[in-house]
Amino acid sequence: MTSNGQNPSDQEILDRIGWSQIRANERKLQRKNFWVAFAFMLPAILLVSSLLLAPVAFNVYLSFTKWAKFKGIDQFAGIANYVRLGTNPFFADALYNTSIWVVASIVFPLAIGLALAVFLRGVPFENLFKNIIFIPRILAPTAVGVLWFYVYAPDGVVNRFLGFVTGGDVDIGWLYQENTVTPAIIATFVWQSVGLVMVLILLGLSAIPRDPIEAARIDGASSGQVFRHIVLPLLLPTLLVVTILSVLAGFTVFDLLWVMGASYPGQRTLSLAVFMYFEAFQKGSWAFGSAIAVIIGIVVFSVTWIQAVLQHRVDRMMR
Amino acid sequence: MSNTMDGIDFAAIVDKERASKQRNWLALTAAVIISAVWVVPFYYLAISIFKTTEEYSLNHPLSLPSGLAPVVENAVTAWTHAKMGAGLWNSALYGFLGAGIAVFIAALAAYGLSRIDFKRKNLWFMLIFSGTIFPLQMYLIPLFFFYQKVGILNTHFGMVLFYSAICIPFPVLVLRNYMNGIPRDMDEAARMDGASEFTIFRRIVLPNCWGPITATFLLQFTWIWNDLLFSTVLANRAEVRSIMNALQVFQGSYSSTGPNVVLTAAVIASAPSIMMFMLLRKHFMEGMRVSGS
Amino acid sequence: MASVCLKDIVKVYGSDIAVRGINLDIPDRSFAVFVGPSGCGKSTTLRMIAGLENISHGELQVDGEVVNDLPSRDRGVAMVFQSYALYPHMTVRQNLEFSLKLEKLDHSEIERRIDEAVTVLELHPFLDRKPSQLSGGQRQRVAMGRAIVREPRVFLFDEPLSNLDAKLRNQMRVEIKRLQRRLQVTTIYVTHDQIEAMTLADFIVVMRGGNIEQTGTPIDIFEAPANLFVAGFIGSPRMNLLAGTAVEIDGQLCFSNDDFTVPLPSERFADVLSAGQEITVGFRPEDIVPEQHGIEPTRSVSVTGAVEFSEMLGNETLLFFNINQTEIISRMHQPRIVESGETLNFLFNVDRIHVFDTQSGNSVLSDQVTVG
Repeated sequence: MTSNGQNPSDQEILDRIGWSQIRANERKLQRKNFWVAFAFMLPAILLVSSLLLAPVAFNVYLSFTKWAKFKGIDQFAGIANYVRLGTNPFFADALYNTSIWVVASIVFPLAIGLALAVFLRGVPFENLFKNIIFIPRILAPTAVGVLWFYVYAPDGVVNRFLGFVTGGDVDIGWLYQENTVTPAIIATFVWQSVGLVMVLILLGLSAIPRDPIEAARIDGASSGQVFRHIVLPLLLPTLLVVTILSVLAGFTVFDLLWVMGASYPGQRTLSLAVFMYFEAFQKGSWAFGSAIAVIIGIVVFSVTWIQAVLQHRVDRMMR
Repeated sequence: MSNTMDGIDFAAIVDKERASKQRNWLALTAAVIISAVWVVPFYYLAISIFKTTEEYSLNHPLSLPSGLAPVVENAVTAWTHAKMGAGLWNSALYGFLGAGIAVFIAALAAYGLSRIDFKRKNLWFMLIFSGTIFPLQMYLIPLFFFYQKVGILNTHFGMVLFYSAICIPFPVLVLRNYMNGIPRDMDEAARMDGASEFTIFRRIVLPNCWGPITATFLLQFTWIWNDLLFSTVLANRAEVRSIMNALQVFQGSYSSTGPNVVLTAAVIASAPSIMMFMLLRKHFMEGMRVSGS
Repeated sequence: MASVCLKDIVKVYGSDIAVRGINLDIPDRSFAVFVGPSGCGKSTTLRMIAGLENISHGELQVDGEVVNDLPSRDRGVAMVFQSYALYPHMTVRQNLEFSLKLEKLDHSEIERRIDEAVTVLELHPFLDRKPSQLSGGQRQRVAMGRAIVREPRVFLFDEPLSNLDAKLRNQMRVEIKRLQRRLQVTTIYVTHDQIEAMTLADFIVVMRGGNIEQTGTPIDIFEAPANLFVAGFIGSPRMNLLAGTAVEIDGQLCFSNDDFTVPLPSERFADVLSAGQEITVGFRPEDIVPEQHGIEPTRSVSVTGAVEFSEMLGNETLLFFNINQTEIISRMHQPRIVESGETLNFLFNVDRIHVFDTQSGNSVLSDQVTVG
């Protein structure tokens, strides 16, 4: 039978066992752990850095060179490319259209998605309608673009329908004219994406607890008031996520514009993404195209950063 | 107040029920009208593929086809002119290999990030995940230049390589979070049983991750299948084109053949992903849910 | 089968010393139980023996062989985890086979071992089921089976019964003891439950704050706790402790707390106590019984107390009363309902008294004072 005598202090124990040596050994073990983990991460790190990260860095570098079809890649041009952007009329148009896309891709899917989500709740055959509206989501944007290219054709469904409604002959060249091409393609974009927005909002709605709503009803609030003061605030996090997804999607739209804008003479101005493709791959102004890509990158980053900040605020508000 | 019993007004209740039923019918009608916006284009698509080019150009776009036979001819024309066979094969290859390799590599990385203790984990995670935060445009020019130089432009290898890389970051996020939720004591038991780290990965952790693995695989496969941009830039030649690339080229060059043919091509191009969706709907939903987290 | 020897084992986490240099010899084939409150270092020590934690300093020997640098699988130890840690995607059979397949044993040997384990643990009907289809007790048996098939030199148990309900716990306790008797393998068992420790152990290791407070057989520790902590920790309901002073009254050494005085048997305490020393006396609830309601002690002192409240347990009643504001528990063997406020005469068994030095906490009778 043994028992404990005086208890040595921490420092005494550490000294006795030669702590510095121990610590060195432990650090060696930690390092071994690290290399094992590194081995697991290696394939991912290799692929991602060589095919994704390195190109981004190279892109930024390129934007400061003079690289074009036959001119040297190593000729440094400073910010000449960016200056050129400032004076390029196509760039201005593309920027303008892209801004319209950003705004539209926030407002329309959200408003329509929200309206549909609220409206369809409780309607008979609710699931059927939800599925119908959601289906375009599983199609490729390219296929959707092809379909709507013909829907918007001069003798296509849209014009025929308008003619039926107005009683005359409608012959609008939706995809050929400057003032209709962007709205038309935005409509297609909303047509495809509202399904997902609606589903996400429905998920958010179902996560809202019933009690506050019932309490408000008992207190005499009308449906409208309940919606505005209770449902909407609690829906805010979902709406934020949806907004960000929509913005990024709207900003980098390419497939729809490429397919549906093919017959529009000013196709290159439909968005920054298309403009960049034109400059780089059709005109061969590589450095210039890189600069455009960098601009796109900066804007996307800003949006993501704003989102992170807003998300933080909303999270804190929810607590 | 009539028909009262114990103070309950039955007539009023019946009226209210009837009113709400009417409201329901109203809502239903409205819902039908709204969903027409979605149904009509599909209806248009469905009937157009059964028309001959002549039929299409002569009649109203929404008129019914006179027979079902033309769809075969349309399909054959589309298939041969748009080289759909090659397109479908290429996209299937890119999808299965690209998504498959990516998800496996992502699982490896996720294992390292979640099951092993080491310093500055988050830094390494961000390194991998940052592959996905840049807009696609920033990859295009350098990749094109690099592929051209190395000679893998317009090759299957080149495309699989790229798709594998770009489909890694997102599954790493999902799988890492999922693995963090799996209890660690299994690993310890396995370690005591004599298993090496890789054995633990392969035989213990991975088999418990099929849910998120399938979900992310499907999501990435769909993304690859739907891709137009990278195929156009990095593999535009007919033999290596993705299916959507083939479709777009077809539409651009043959739009005078007749919408019925091009639309048939669009249906052929979309059929695999629609079938996959129908069959694996719950995995897709799981994937959507998991991506929202 | 092997002995386990810990020499000056220390575990440091960053700036925190979890295990402060413990020495221990666990004989071959014995059932050793580490018991103590949360954070005492018992699990950490077990994990160091298992090879799941690195040993910061000291030597760990299994069967005379130093195993500090050997990976778990080469130490000849097998562990049953608190949460069983079964592989959820494998059947019971596959769970049992896993380690054996890794060792690359041949098929007949694997079959033999599994058969043995399955027979002993009665797992036959479950071989093709997955863990999610088993109850808690069944899963625990599979966890034990997994350890048994490895034919280890030492069994390690990490609080295996904490996840079971009380009835199952009692059942499994008996089974574990039976199993160990049958297999004759050295077993190290960690628990925070002192009843498990008392019933299972061949010898107990009481730990606190990274140190070993006392080791010994259950009876030794129960009858002669080495310090205040062990005295209060082992035994349920806990030992009554009363602080006071040693005084000399008429030549007789006594314990005194205000007006409560008890003579201390001179044959045990005369040489080790001095008058004026601050001491704490300890006496178990069964050693202070109501007059005429229990076993009458040979040498006793009478204490009167008003019962604050009582707990009727069926075979006995626990009475809670006060001696000078300290709560005292008494065990009454003949159960009856006792009203609050009822005053009883208690007989204090002088021969069963424990005396501790209040300052050091140690029993005044402990003649070996070694750092454990």
